[in-house]
Amino acid sequence: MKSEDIDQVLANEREVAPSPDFLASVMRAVRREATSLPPLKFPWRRALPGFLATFVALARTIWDLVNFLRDAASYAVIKEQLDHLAALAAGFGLQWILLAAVVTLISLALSLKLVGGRHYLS
Amino acid sequence: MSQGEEDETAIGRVLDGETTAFSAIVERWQGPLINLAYRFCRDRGRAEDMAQEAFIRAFRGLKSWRREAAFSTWLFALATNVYRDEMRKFAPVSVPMDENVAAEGSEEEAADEADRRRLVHNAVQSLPPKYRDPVLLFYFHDQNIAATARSLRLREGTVKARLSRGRALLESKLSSRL
Repeated sequence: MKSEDIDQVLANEREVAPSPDFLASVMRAVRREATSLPPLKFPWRRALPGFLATFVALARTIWDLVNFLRDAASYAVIKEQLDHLAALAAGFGLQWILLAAVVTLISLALSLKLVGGRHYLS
Repeated sequence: MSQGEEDETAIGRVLDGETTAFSAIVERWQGPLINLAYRFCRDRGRAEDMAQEAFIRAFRGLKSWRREAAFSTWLFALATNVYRDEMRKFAPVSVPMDENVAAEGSEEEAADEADRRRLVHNAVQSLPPKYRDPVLLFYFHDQNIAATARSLRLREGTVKARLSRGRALLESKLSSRL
């Protein structure tokens, strides 16, 4: 088939007439749309005090943490506790738990990629 | 009053809260929108569903229409976007063109005009969307590159390149037929 034949077919597509009740059907849907309540807006004014309190608490926590870590004695205590936790974790087989978590994440990512549908498009 | 002015008047009334004025828009544009949808899906019932969805989205988004472009330009771009999304959601498992054509039947049948049309449409549907959409829009807009580019929200140069590649793919798929 030549290029002109393809042009001829595509340029002379048959017209599809709307069915008699198409207009009425669209207008019913439009009226439904017009009468439905608009989506609820996020209550920013009410949520603002909560956001401010969270921000202040977070800032205070970070400030305290920084001050705590600046102190050499505190740092030594934390390091000792972390070492203790690491020893405990080694006893529980932490490396296997981490390996299982990594395998789970990889299989999850692979499944999501496969059901993403992109392979149908080309 | 021109068609554009009539559209503007109707839209003004809709935006003032007169929902029924939208029927003038639907009445004027139902044919083109259904026909454009049909070119995408080749199914009459589904084309009407897709066109209805496009009208509802247009109704919702009327406020976003900036009057510097014609209403029809905005409407076709919106509808094209809706149709592409719909096709993506319910995309058929792609059938390689050779298998598709082989199932069509004998050479005598293929010589028939209806079969020839079916071959071409199957070939268009089997193109990757990137090339299929410019081809569909180009012929829908009476081979007008500028209108095709506006509907796809792409630059004219991009449309020309994709169209050229799409047509080359079509020719290679159909070269051994008829």
